[in-house]
Amino acid sequence: MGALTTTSGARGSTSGPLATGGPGRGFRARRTLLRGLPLVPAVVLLVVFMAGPIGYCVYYAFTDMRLTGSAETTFVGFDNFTRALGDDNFRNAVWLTLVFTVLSSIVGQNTLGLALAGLMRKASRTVRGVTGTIVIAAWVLPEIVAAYLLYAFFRREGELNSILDALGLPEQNWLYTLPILAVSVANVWRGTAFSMLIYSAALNDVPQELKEAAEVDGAGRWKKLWYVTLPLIRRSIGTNLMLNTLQTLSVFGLIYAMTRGGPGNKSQTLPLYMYEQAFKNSLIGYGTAVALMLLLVGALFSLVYLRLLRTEV
Amino acid sequence: MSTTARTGHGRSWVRRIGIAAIVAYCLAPFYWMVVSSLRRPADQFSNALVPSPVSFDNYAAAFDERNGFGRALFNSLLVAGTTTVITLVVAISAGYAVARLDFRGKSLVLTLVIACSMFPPITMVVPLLELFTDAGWINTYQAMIVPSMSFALPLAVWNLSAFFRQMPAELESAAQVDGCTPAQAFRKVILPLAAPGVFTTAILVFIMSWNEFLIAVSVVNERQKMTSNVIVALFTGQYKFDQPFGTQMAAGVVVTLPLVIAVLVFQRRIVDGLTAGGLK
Repeated sequence: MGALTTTSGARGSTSGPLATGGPGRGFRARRTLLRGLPLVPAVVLLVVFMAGPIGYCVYYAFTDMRLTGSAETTFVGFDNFTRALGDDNFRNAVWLTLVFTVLSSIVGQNTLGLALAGLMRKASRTVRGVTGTIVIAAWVLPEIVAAYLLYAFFRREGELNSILDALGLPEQNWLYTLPILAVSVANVWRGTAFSMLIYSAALNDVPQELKEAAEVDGAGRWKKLWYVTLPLIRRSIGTNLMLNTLQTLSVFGLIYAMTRGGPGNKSQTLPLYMYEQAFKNSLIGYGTAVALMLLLVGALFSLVYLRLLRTEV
Repeated sequence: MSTTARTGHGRSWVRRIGIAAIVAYCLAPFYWMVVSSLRRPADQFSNALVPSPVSFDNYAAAFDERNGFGRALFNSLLVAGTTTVITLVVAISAGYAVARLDFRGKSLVLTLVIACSMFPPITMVVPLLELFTDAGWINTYQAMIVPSMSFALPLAVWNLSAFFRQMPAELESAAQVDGCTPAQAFRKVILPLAAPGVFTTAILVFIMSWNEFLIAVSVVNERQKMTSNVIVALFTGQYKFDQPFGTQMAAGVVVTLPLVIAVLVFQRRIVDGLTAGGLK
């Protein structure tokens, strides 16, 4: 504690000579500017190439802009939104986005990541190293390559059917009958690493004494997990769910390369629907309105998770 | 005593089977990619576990002049490399400012950074395309580099400020007592000590921009300028009816290899960087 006061004192004295200009308001403003200077490049970059485009996206969503650009662009109010809400294909895309997110992110990546982190805690160093490497390798794989791999796994002549065949189970053409399940499994395969890493770090912070105390009180494995471990890592669960969900909502390349949203629109989630409307049908205004509604879905999920983070134990 | 020992033993078996199942699940697609890439093109639909005879024809086909795959690898390296270097310079200064300096509007800047990182890239494609068309940036490297930078920047700033915050503030105070200016104190004392953190962030940024697909496929339509991801995706489009499956797999191996090597060598660092970014 003493050391801390000394340093803050030392810091105060080093900035002392600088402060000769007196505590005038102009000086303070200039100092704020000077101190903010290192942030300028980052802020400029984010404003021009992220916040700016997002702002434009909001503007386009209320116009009838087309890709060809020759026609006059006019302000059309909420037309794009009402049109989307009345469109069966849009509603299908929203439904598939929810299925994809719940299946692959909330159920798949999240649960599997937690299970893996738990299993790895008691495993030997070698096993931990090898498993960790493989899981992370799946995570760094380019989306397109991952998509081809999983496409190979699910296609009619693929491994899954060979395995089913060997086990004497009926084969299926998975990418035709259940494409949304196939792309969900692909996303789980790709994204488990992140959850595993977050949960490994969180489980390390759970005090051993609490678990032992629960054991003394006669709690079994599942009770210990439910009443001790899960409440303690609640914050990590919230963070992980939020990051995973937002990531999953915007998955594009994986589905695009595996199924192109098809067959028909059986795996066309919102990002793919938006891409098709904006670029294939050149309806820029309508496409950006769809993108905004994707944002809305993300915001709704985030609100739920933020509540989860805030609740007291 | 003996019963607890036995249940412990039984559990460890369950645990081992669980781990084995998950490893198999994660490893199988990788294994299949390598095996499929090593079959003869004529055997591409074979499901044998080991390719026989082993052939490198698929690799030769992937690097065929007409595909421009070699050039695409060079483009990927150029785009990802440049993105990494510039992003780090920008993020180091921003991350340091966030970690150490107090100024008005700091929390506003931080909120902006987080908010930006949560937007789906797909919402930005259309405006960026308009912007780059007006600026004459279509089919240029900077049209891929700059968006990659802004996508990677939030993570990079986060990570680096976490690393800077771990370093005691006494370091700069001492350097300044010894007559360094704040800028010198940063350059001569803090930066060398932060090297591991900078390195971790560099790996993550490189992986992110190496894998970037959506922007790269949208702003470039000239084969000469395409990155390897986009070229690999085009392998299907070109031969719709005769899917060059083995060629895709061979290209996949080539694109993935640098990343897998990076993971093998730097696993510890990648894990540290990711958890720092995700939790703080």
